[in-house]
Amino acid sequence: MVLVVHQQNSVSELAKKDVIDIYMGRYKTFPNGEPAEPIDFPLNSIERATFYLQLVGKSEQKINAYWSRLLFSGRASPPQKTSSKLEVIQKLNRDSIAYMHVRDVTKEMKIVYHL
Amino acid sequence: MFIISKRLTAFIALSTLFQLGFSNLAHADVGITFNGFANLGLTYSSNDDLLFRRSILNDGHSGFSVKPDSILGLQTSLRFSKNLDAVGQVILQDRQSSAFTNFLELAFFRYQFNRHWLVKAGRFSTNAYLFTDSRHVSYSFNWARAPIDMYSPAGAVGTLNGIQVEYVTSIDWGTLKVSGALGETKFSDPEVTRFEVDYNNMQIFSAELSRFNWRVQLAHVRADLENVSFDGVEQIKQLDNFVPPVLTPFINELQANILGTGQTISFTSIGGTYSTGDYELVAEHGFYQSDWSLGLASAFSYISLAKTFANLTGFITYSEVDRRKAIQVIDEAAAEQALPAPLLAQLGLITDPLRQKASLNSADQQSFIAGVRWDLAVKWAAKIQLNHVRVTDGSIGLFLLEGSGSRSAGNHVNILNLSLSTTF
Repeated sequence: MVLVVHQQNSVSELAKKDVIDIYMGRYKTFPNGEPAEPIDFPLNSIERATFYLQLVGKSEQKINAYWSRLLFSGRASPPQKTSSKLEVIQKLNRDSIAYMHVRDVTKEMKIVYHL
Repeated sequence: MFIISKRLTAFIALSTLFQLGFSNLAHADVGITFNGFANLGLTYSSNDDLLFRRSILNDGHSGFSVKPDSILGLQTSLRFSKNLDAVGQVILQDRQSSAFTNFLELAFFRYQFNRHWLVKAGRFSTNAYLFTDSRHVSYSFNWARAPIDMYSPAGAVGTLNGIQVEYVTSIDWGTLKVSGALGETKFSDPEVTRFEVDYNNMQIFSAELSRFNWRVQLAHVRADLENVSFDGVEQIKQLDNFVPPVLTPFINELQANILGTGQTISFTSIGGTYSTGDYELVAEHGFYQSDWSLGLASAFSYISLAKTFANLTGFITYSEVDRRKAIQVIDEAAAEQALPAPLLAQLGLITDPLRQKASLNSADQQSFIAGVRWDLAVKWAAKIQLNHVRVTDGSIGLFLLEGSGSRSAGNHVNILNLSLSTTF
């Protein structure tokens, strides 16, 4: 799996810690201060489960519980929801970041981290 | 004048946030989302005298009831620009009083200056404990409810109206978040116990260190007690007009202790969570410092261990609230030394009922908790939990005393809960 941003995004590389900061709601920006809008695969999808297990070693149910704490404490909003891989690709804009299998990366995307 | 200046300050703060936020407005940045959480719980509580409640602001029940652990929370998040957003949250639960402020949990504007700094204004969590800001969201933790020995009293000062500045930074091995807040809050139950108290000039500091598998938080809260009010408060204020002059010093001491005149209270807490593999450890300790007779100094603690087996998570928890001072409304030793027996008896007629009231307001109890969480579907969890609570003699713990005020059912309470929790 890889983390990708849009080609127009000025970010060219991220560390694992930066990815965790963004996907776990600690920061709303990339390290350079530009807005970061993470995109998630659908709940219960193999991509989502694999991503969080590889990123922070937590099951999807633990991630859902974690985000319910952050959301309802008003601290942060969870990554954008999608209903399919196609929607993940369509939603990727200059401010967003997404994870996906390396075979699904298109020429509009830039890989910023290999998981 | 002070009230006007505080409102003016709040108005200026909110106006500034709006101007800053809307100056950066772009249509794509604007949005509104609705979310919610719910817990449907069936609870059995075994003691007919000590009525179970999950927060000191809630009503008490014995036997079977769905009221103590059933909760519905509704949240709206508004995004005005990349930097400005707002959050509102109401929580419907079994409050004793129907005052709207007892249901309004969050109502704040937030402005993000840059990656590291943000400011919040409005009503938000005091963050006095690890789960203060999510203690109602049953789905977010393994328990049916956050340990009541620590989180029931947090209901009194769980939120404040004020302003908060927060700083977040990355350090080599984690993330550090530091915040400071100023504001005020009010404990209000005008309908049932008629007990009210203002916590003014609140100052809150909290620091949180986190990494993906652990989180540690340190918090300190201080506030000035003002406007303590309850049934009979006016008689207490005028007591010194109706006693012989020799009793006046003792009555003045009693008035100061009961009315909390000029008293400052403080909370200091440290807590952390750590998970490794299928195990999760959570522990917290908090210390409440006060000389106010109706809210004496206490220590709150719990430790909890959980292990996950596929979709099932079993947990055991020990928690307690430990009163750190003897209940005393006057210096009894000094009174015994200074007063002849008839006057001492007269003083006792005044102080005894108030000592009893202070005793009822002072919690001292231990809880043994065991339970299982079953993640049965995406965003749905079922739970079963048993609390065995032992209340120290002379205290009613964090329970509500049944209307007749009699105590024949002993000092132990078993609370069984079956619940279903979700978010949407």
